[in-house]
Amino acid sequence: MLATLVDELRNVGIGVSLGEHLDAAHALSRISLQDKEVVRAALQCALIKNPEHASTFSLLFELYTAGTHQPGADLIAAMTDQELRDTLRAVIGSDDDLVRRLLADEYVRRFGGLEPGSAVAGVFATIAVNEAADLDAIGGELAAGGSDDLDAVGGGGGGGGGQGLGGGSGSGYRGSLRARLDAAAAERKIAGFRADLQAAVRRALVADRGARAVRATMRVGLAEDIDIASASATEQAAMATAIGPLAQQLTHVLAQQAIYRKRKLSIRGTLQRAMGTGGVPFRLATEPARPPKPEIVVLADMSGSVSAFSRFTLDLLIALDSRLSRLRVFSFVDGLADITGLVREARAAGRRLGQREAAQAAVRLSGSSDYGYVMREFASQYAHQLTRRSVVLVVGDARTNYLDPAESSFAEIRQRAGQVYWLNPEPRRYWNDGDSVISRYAPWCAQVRECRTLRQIADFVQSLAITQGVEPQWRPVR
Amino acid sequence: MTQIPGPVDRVLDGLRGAGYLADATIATVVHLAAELRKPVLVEGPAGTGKTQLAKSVALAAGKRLIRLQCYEGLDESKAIYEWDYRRQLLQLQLQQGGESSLDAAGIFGEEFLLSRPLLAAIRSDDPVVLLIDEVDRLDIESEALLLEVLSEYQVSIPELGTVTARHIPQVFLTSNNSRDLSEALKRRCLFLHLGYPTVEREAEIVALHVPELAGHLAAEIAELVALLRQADLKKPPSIAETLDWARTLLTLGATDVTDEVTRQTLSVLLKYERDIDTALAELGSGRA
Repeated sequence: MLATLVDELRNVGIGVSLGEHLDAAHALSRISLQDKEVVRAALQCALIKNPEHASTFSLLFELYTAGTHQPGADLIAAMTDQELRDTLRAVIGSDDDLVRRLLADEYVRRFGGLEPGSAVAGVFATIAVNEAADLDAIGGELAAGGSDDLDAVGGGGGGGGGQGLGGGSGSGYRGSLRARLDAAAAERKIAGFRADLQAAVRRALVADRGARAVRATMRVGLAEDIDIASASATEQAAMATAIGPLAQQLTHVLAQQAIYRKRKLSIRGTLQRAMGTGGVPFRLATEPARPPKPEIVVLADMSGSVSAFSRFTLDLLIALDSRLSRLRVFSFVDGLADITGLVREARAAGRRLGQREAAQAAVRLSGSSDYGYVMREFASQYAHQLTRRSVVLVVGDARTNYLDPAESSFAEIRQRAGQVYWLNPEPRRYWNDGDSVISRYAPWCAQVRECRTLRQIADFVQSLAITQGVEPQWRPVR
Repeated sequence: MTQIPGPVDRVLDGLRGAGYLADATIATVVHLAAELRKPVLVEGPAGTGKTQLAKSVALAAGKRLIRLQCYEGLDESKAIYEWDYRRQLLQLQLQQGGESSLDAAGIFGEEFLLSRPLLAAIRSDDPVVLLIDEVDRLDIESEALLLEVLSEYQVSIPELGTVTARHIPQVFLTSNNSRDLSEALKRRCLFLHLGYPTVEREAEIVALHVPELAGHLAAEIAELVALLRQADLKKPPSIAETLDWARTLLTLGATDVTDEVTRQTLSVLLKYERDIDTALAELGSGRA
């Protein structure tokens, strides 16, 4: 079973080294295999080293361990529909995972409409089961009579307090906060059972068709491979959490490219080295250089054609801002706007910056992008502020709407800046097609990259580190 | 809680005795780390008990805790060992002209070696728990300093030779995930992601640490904190802050989580003015 699981993980794109595979095998030999949770934890800690991969792992693990028949299922199968609902109402928020699981299985068996061998997709079964379970109504009931459930959560020792509380709510006073808390508790329990139902549907499918077949029809992917332009809300949330480390890495790599100032002489280091030569200082040692903070200038296209990507760019910028001393952000469409202040404000408030907000000031006339104007404007207004320590990052699809691209201005920008990179959110096969003029800007860029997924952005960051031949900042004193 | 068999169960009980309420996942990883003699990399947001886990494991096992706090620019001389050059210089001056060769001067003996946390953990005579805190603050290059210790449990000192551990230390590394750690480091470790606890577990934690509190109050506190963590806050409340709040309520003699009490004491949980405003709006009880 372990080998299949590891194979599947590798198929999805989660790298598992041989050592990790062995660790997992050793881990299995040191635990009791009775408890599924313990087995899951053991395998996960050995195989999965990235929290973003955890949900994918859980899904695959669930698939490959499904299909064991549970004792007690017969009892529940004998219940009427009403009894089933009452039982569900009673155990929905409890710790009793086993009964909840059995109930979920039973709902799927009764209402899922999964015929053996039929090619019905799991989605329909999930919808049917959710309707049958009538979770919204149960949720309402829970929220209305919520206080006693809170006691159940509190566990032992709360008996006396619980009675006092019951008296309190009986007398008619229910603060708005209490109501809010009860609603939240109910919501959480309902969401928990929804997940149980989803898992039960999957188990039923696996029992029918086998894990491999189900895995093949499911969309098991990683956050870093999602196409940013077409990501769903949950996928976007997953990517949002992945942005932080990425921003940190980008800053780090860019910092390596700036030029170091002269290092100070280290008395301590020099004396230490001198010990090897009997106290005579032959070689001088210097203090480790403080990595200089580079100045990054970002030009981000906010026009409609790349808006989904722009949104993401904004998130990345906000994450970057906290790590850089000097970040300047310009948004452009057919005008150019300095939105550094907006980004800073959004970060301080800890909120996301709206794409509309960012684009507003950047629209001059038509609202469709005009790269030529933007390049000319930037070259004349801001280029003199660039130094050798500045790194310019252009994010855009280079679609000029058949207007003059003004490469000469772009060349001027290149000359003043330390380095210019271009990230293009369009698939490479569309480049230079129609009004895309990416190839006319390319000669002045150190790199032009297709950037549609987090992985591609990470690759870009990686390639910077390699092509620039990043030296260790300093070598330990020997 | 479901029936957890033998060894994992013992870890759970041990940690509970040290004041740490683990769940099955945490206990399994801690158990395996000891069995497989591998370091554990604990990752997760701030305030979820990563550092506390290492401390509790040490307490539960009755071992000494050696701690290495990482920061940008940490180097060999602060992390592993350093030659005590002042003593070496004095030694050389004492025997000025006396010895003919450097080796005979004997300035690279153990008595001139200053142990820093990693070497101290390796050289320790009694078994220890080594905590390498906030490893994500290290530069990528300095990460390599840790690798030899983590995989071989030894330290190579060019002038002295290789020092191998007498007792394999139990190693915990913590990371706030502010950057991706290198593959090399991750491969050597078991990985444990610590998120915020479930409402049920947090209620138990509150009950364990503030036992004087009425049972239903602990549950309500946990519920409210969970609600706050879902809101869009700059700094979500940590477990420690939840406990602080529980103690505050206890001191005030509150019997119930009411609007009034919450509004007065929210500053214990949240440390930013803006967060407090957001939270009050979220809880449906805007400021009067």
